[in-house]
Amino acid sequence: MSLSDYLDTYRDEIIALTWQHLLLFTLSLLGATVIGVLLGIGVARLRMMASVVVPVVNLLQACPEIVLLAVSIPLLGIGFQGALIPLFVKGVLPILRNTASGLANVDPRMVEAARGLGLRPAQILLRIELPAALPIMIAGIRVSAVMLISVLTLTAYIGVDSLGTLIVQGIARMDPIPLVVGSALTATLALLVNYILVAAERAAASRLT
Amino acid sequence: MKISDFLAANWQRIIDLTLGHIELSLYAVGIALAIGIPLGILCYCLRPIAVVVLNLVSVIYTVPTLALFGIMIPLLGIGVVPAIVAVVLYSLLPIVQGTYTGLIAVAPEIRESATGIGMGAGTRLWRVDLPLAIPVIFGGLRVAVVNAVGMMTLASLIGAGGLGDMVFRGISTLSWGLVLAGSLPLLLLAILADLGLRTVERRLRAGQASS
Repeated sequence: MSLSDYLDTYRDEIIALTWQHLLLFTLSLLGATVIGVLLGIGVARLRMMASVVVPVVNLLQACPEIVLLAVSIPLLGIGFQGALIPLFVKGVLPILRNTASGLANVDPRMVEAARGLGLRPAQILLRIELPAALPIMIAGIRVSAVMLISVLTLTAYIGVDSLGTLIVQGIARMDPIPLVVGSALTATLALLVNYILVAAERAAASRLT
Repeated sequence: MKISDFLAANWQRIIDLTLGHIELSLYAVGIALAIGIPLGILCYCLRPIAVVVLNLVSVIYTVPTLALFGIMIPLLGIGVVPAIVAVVLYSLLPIVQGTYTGLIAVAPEIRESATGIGMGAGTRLWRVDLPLAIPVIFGGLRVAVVNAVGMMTLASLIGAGGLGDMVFRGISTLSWGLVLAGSLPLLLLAILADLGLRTVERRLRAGQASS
């Protein structure tokens, strides 16, 4: 079967798998962003927390993804949540690290000035510090996003469909066509997400100056 | 069967697979170092090339690891060689980037004083720039090693062996003893490599800061 025949025959399936991939991606990235930013703020504020959270997250980061996915089956069962939780755990670290270092690098004179104007700590965080740290935070989100798009292909092995399903079919049947289609779509998504977030990073940085 | 029984009954096989896994990962990272460090130096010496090379290695890095292994089948067949090639390709980014950033980050004053005391470009690179860049290069190496250990798990899918054999057989037969027997040594390997190399990296940085 030629590539164009394959695309004609399986077009609906390929589109459905792409949507599913994007859905898993969006959910896991959202989860990783919320947790990563909150933990990052905590780490920047509380020394105690840094000494507990950072080593734990570093350890989780060193775990191979397939191990996290495989171990999550007996714990969380096969299905959506079994795939999502290990993925978003994997995505937390870059966001946490960049949020913490972004906040640590905010010019202390700006914070001082805000305090002098009578802003409360919560207001300083939301209106001064987070906007100043935003470009670095987005860079962390970008690293996570590109990694998640690629790691997501592995969910095919624990029974959750994604573009990885095509790659796995290709490997199992030694058929390069689904393999190339799945890989090319995943790589394209990764590059696309990368460029979008690079643009967001630039926009956030230019708003600062 | 309890997991402890399973481990007791299969420890010999687990050790064999673990050693095989370490061997495969070390080969891959060794080859990636031999290619990546000269490439990083080349990028540093010839800036126009740097943009091309760095973009190329980052594009390779965005290809899903699973796909990279898959693509090897039509190109190189199955077995140990395509698995190592895939991991080498993937390990290039942290090593090339580490080498390049480490060299770029050498303070211009140091570079100038090296030229000032009569060092040629080659001598300066070898005696000043590279030694100063070592901690950063080592950081790249650490990322590459941890990645390689994890990625080699997938090598089992193209018949190269390693601990992935146990993990994937466990997943496909739904036997958690097998999954854990493969996963625990993998976890240990990844974590030990990460912690060990982090410690060396910190020593290197501290040694440099004090001298």
